[in-house]
Amino acid sequence: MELQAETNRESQPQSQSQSPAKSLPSPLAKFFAPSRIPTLDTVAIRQRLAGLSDRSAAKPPAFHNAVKELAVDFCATLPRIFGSELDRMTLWDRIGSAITTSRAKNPGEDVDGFIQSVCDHIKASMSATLACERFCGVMEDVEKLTPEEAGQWMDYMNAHLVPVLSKAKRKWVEQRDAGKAVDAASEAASESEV
Amino acid sequence: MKSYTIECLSEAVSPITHASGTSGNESIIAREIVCNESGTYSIPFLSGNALRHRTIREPGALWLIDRLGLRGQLNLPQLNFLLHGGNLSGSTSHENTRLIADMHRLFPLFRLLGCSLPSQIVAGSLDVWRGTLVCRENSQAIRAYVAAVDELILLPSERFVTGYQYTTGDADSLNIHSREAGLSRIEASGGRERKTSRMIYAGQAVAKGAMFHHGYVLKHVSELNVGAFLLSMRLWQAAGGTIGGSARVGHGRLKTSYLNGFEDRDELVAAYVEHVDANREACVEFLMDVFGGGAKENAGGESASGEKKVKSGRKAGKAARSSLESNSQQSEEVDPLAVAAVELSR
Repeated sequence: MELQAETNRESQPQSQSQSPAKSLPSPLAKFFAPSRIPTLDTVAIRQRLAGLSDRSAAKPPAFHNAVKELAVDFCATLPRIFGSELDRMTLWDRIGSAITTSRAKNPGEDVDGFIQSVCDHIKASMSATLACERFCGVMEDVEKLTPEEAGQWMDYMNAHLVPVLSKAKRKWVEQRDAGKAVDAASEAASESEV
Repeated sequence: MKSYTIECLSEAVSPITHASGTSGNESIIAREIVCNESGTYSIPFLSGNALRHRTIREPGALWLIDRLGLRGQLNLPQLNFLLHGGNLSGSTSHENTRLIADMHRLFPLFRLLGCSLPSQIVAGSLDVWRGTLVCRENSQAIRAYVAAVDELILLPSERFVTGYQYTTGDADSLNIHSREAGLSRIEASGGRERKTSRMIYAGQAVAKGAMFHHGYVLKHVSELNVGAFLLSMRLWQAAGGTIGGSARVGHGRLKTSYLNGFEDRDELVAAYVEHVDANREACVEFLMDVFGGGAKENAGGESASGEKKVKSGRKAGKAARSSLESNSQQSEEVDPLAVAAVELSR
C-alpha cells in the first residue's frame, strides 16, 4: 500500500544542519512515520539558553540591597495613605493583598501601573497621596529604576512579602513614633514660651 | 556494532509535574540532591526510570503491538513483556541461549532495553540518563556537555518551580447543568441535602520554558537497534512528548532536540520498520510460544502441567496466527503505525 510521504506536524526551524539527501525521496516514503527530531547546533543552543540566563546576577550586591530597602520604604509609606473608609484593623492584610493582586494584574515591567493598582486597592485618596512627602520621595527613587530593574523590584516584593511587610511595619512604627515625639516636643516648647 | 551517546535538550512546553509524593492533597515535585562548589541543593529532576519507559519502551512497544496486528489479543504475560519488560514467572530459572538469540534477532527494541523472559533475565544495552534541570546549581554538571552554559549565569532552580491548583466538578453543587435541568440543590443531590464533594487539589510543577538535559548511551548495538530507538523517540514526541503526571490536563509536555551533531536518520528508522514487517509472523510466534507456555520455553523437559501448557500455547499460537491473517487483510486499509500514532496521542 502506497502511503503519503512523511508528514510534518510541526515545522522544524531549529535544525541548522540540513541533510544533503533532503532532495531525495525519504526512505520512509512508503511508511507513515512521525517527523524527525531536530538537532540543535551551538548557535541554536546559545539562543535557547539565553532565555534562561539571570540578568540580575550581573548586578552588584549594592543593587540588590537597594531593591530590598526600596521595597521596605514603599510598603512603609502605604499606611500613611491607607483609605479612611477601610477598616484600619485590616491594614497589613490589605497592603499585602494590594501587592500580590497588583503584581498579578501587572506582571511585566509597568511599574506605574503596579503602583496605581496598589493605591486603588488600598483606596488611597488623591489628595492624601500627593500630600505625603515620604510617598513622593519613594516615587522619585522608583523613577530612577530601569524597566528591567523595576520588574525585579516588583518581583522581589511579591516573592518576599511577609519579610518585607514585617520590616515595613517596624519602619512605619518608628517613623510614626518619631513624628509623635517631635510633635510632643514642639507642643511642649510652644507651651513653655507662653 | 557501535556504541552511541545521544544527548538531548528538552524544553518544557507545559508545566512538568514529575512528583515524588504528596503532602496533604498537594503534589510535591521530585528533587535530587546536588553538591557543587557553592554548596548542597535540592533540585527538580526527571528520573531515568521515567524517561526510559515513556520515551523508549512504551511508544516502541505500543507501535510493535499495532504493527504486529496484536491489539486486543495479548494475554497478561505478553503485555507485561512488551510494555513493562516482563517478569520471572517460571518455576526455575535457566539460561536458554537460543531463546535469547531469537529474541535479540526478532525484537531489536528489547535487545536494547533488556527484558525478563519467564525463566531468565536478559540484560539490555541502553543506559538512560536522568533529566538534569538547566539551572545555576547544575551548571557545573551540564557544562561538560553543553559548552554554552559557561557563557551565562543561569537562573537559580527555584525560579523554575511554580504551582498549580485545580478543582474537581461535582453535580451536587448547583452548577449550570443542574440549573439547566431545573433541579434544586436537594433534587440534584438525590433527594437529600448533602455537602458538595468538590475537591481542590494543588501541587508544584516545573515551569513552562524550563529545560532539561538528558541522554542515552546505546552500547555495542546494530543499526537496527538504533532505528528502534529513533522510532520510539519520534513516536513519543509525536504523541506530545509527555513525562510525569497530569498529562490529562495538559501537563508534562517536552519538546526535544538532539545535541552535539547527532542526526535523526530516516534510513535507520525505515530499516527497523522493514525488519519488523519481514519478521512479523516469527515475532508473533515467539510471543505465543514463550508467553503462552509454548514448546520453546519448556524445551528442557515437560511435566504433565507443562505439556498442557505447551498444547494450549500452540493452540493460542494457531489462533493468533489465523487472527493475524484476518487482521492483515483489514490492515490493508489502515496503517497500524498511523493508528499507533493516534492512540499514543490520546
